[in-house]
Amino acid sequence: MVSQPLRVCNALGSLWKYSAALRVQDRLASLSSKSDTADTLIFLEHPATYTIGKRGTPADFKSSEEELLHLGADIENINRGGETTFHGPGQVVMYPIINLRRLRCGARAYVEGLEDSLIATLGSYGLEARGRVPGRTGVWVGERKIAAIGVQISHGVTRHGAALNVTTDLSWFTHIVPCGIADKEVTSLQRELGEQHASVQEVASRLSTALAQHFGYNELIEVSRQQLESL
Amino acid sequence: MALRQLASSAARCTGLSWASPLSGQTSISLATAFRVAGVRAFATVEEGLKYAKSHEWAKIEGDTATIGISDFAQSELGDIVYVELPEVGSEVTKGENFGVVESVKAASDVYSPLSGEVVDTNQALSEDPSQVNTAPFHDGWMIKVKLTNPSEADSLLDSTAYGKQCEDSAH
Repeated sequence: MVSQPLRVCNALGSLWKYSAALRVQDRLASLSSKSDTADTLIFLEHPATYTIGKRGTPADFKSSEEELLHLGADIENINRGGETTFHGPGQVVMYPIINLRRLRCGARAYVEGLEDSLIATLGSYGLEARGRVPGRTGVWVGERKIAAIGVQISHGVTRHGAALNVTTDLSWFTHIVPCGIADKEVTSLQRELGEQHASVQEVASRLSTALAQHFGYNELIEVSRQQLESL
Repeated sequence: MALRQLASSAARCTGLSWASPLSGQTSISLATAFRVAGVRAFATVEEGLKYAKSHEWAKIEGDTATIGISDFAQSELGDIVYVELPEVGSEVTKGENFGVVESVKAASDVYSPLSGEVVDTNQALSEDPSQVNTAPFHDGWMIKVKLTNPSEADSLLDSTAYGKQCEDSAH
């Protein structure tokens, strides 16, 4: 087990356009596969965006592209695993750019690590969640999906990651079949907790601790969005 | 594969896996088990094949090679739900990405152990990608390549060396 630091960029609070954040992920992943760059964890919120993964199809949409664009949403086709999902304000999106070879970790163990970190975080709010559901990767509260996972692994380096609904306006999900699963509901931390107010900042802070603990990072180093964008 | 190394003895990354030995086929179990949380998991290595460090195998017959991913690799990936392969007639290059496998919502690149022209692809995988899990060295093959430089195979690992690599990565 190699002890190493994890850079954490908390970009919550302002909305980071999907395509611009993807460029930063691509840059970090490229640096990581070629050199001994430290792993990086990015937390952010996107403006309303539907993303279509490798196995996504037009049948995942219940509304037309025009309607969705009219509502102000972006639509992006991307190379992550999985089908179609939604990102938007109030959802904590976590993009770990991690060199799995250095971490000596395989794809399945990595995804289970993401699930476990999310479950630990939700547990700290008193919410019992589960992952490792065969054929239904993601994190579930009862039969309701609270966090979606979709990753891409190239040259041993991860991109994309997980999206946890905190105060997300869930009506956005009614326009799609989230993650190709038609018969299940989507939920949020706010909805599950009822009155209690959950802040995206607090959730991200707990999530970074849980993830660092799970994968054995020995130090968290804060980096800014500007620092990452200038790499 | 994207996951170049594998078994983590680091207990946190413990998705590990077990691979069912392919009965009746020439395969050797790695003597060293991947010991994870008390579970012993074995991966098999097929003799007579050449291996890339990135866990792809090549079965070379004349100037053609059949290519797939190893038992160790599939066990690290988990249940495979989707395989993306190149077109027949396209070129693949040693060490470069030729396809993608998706498991547990993770899309992982697969790298070619040799260079050449793709002359056949395993169409059965689009119907049943799980064959990569159940028979990685046989029905789970991915592409056949007409080699442009057969001597590239000299730099690949034999089954003994590859088996040792898998053992080492389990420590």
